[in-house]
Amino acid sequence: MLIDTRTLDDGSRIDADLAIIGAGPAGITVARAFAGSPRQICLIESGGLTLDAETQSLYEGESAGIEYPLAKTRLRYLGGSSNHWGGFCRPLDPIDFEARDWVPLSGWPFGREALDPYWEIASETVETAPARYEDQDYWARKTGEPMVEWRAGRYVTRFFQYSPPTRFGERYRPELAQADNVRVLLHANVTNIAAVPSAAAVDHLQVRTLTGRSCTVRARHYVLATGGIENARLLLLSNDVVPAGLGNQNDMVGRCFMEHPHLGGFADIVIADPGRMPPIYRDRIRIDGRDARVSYVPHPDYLRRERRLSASFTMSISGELRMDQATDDDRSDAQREMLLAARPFLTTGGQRQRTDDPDLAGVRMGIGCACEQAPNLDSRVLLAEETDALGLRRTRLDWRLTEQDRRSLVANIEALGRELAATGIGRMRLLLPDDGLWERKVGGGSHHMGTTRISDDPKRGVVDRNCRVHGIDNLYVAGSSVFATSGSANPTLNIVALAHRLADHLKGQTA
Amino acid sequence: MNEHAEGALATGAAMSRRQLLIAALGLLMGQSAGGLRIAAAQPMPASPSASLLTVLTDPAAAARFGRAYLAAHPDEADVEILVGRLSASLSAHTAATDSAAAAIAELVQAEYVTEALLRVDGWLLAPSEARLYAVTALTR
Repeated sequence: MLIDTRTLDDGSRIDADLAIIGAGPAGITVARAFAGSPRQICLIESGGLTLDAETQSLYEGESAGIEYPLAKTRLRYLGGSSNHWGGFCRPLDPIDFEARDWVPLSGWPFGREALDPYWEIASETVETAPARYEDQDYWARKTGEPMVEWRAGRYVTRFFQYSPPTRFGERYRPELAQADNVRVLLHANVTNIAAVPSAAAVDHLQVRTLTGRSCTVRARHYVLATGGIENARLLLLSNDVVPAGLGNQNDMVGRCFMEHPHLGGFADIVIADPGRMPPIYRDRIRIDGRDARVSYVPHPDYLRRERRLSASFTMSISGELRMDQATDDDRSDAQREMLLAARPFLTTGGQRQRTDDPDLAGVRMGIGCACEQAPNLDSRVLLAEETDALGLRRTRLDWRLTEQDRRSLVANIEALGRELAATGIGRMRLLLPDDGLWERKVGGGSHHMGTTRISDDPKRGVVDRNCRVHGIDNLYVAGSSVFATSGSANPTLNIVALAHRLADHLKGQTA
Repeated sequence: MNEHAEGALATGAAMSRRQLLIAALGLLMGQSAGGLRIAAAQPMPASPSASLLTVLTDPAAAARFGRAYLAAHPDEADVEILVGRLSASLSAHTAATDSAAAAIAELVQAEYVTEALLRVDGWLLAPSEARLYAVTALTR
């Protein structure tokens, strides 16, 4: 049932077994797991069914560190930020869960195997199933092309599988609306998570609409699923019992904000013979009605040996280079001449495997990257002094990147260039200095992670291995704010897998 | 003058594998280098040298990067030094081929796996590849 909270009587009280704050991919996934069950579920969404400016403006805030477009990277209506999601799906890698002595605060309370039972169902949720993100044999069969055997041992072939993308609000709204045991409160802003006096449990949620109505929601269990920034903000705002904010007894809420720094134009890659690189390595291809492409990911052994953070790269052909076509552009001329110089190393007897164009020297590749950012206590979500339309202090985001992040990026790019050359595919020109300094403007992937990080140690994290807030019996967190480390995989599939896992745990708790 | 190449070529068919490759290197340079044409004019080992001639199919393009390499490594701006280092690398590399050209290609590929790479005008290059380009730059 969908309910417009603005139509409820002021001061209404809603009771449920489980209250979920936030109807994005995480919240909707948990709610769906209970649809049709005997448990009463209340799913609370700030927005309505479509984007509206007044609600969206609640996301406005300040950047204290790297300039960050807070309101543009999230959407505040049913389905949340899945409404502008690109659909990239890939699981975090096993090494991402490990404690790595060169990565501060690294190590999840469990290994990747704890999520392995959930990739398939998560893939069904995001409509990418079957889950074949690491199965080279599968893609070799499906494409009829052999996979590249990397010779330098620095990279592995992984696969992005693309969601349509699933717009969670649109896709699952009928199911939520028809479930007798699910009430979806729209236009309902949780303004306070009210704890009992001991702060050992949540007592109720205070909810307000932008039209001035108030209500309370009481439940046996609560799930906070408002995204990687708002999860921390709402805990910090809920300070009527614990002045530092709920769950913040160790000053960890909001810390370790991580993004996946994205840079463009950091390298030139030229390939003489695209035939040495099957299409799935250089393009998004359609298989069985779904898209997939290769993600170039550093080999875990290389990462351990070189003590690097992870990264993920994709490549696409961005242009052709002709044999005899000098230009006024020195960069293009250098690319062409590199292909001509290195041609004997990049072709078989000077011939490409497949070509009907003898004047083609080769191609240049466009390359994209997403880098792992190391957890950093100083990179954090804080509360600004300015307040929003609900009178709540806005977000102040202090996103910081480190020299380690930057040097890892450069090393990983170089390792990719090495791998392409060692495998006889191409040559790379690195355009970044290895000085450890970040550009003034760095983009992110709209990936907000780490601000309520998972750890068995309350001094190193906000939630425990079951995503329950340390010290609070009935409050859980869903979403990428629990990521202890960011890896390089896009978060959504991992958020959904974790949400399924949390739902399984909650089913045991609410039985 | 390239003593390695001349000496190797003088022994003809009885050359060892190492000599053969070194001779082939000399031949490569003899394509266009004035002083080295003498070496190239000697009786040449049949197929390995012929295949090596195809190693660098575009000397002009290779020379561009060779000049950039030499600008950063002026101490190697001497054909003899470069050939000496290339031949040492070839000698240390166990090639799975009898073709000199293929052996050099193999060496370059192997260096991309194991050796520290160079940045030549930003391009990541294996040391022997960069030196081949440098030889070309000096002998054109």
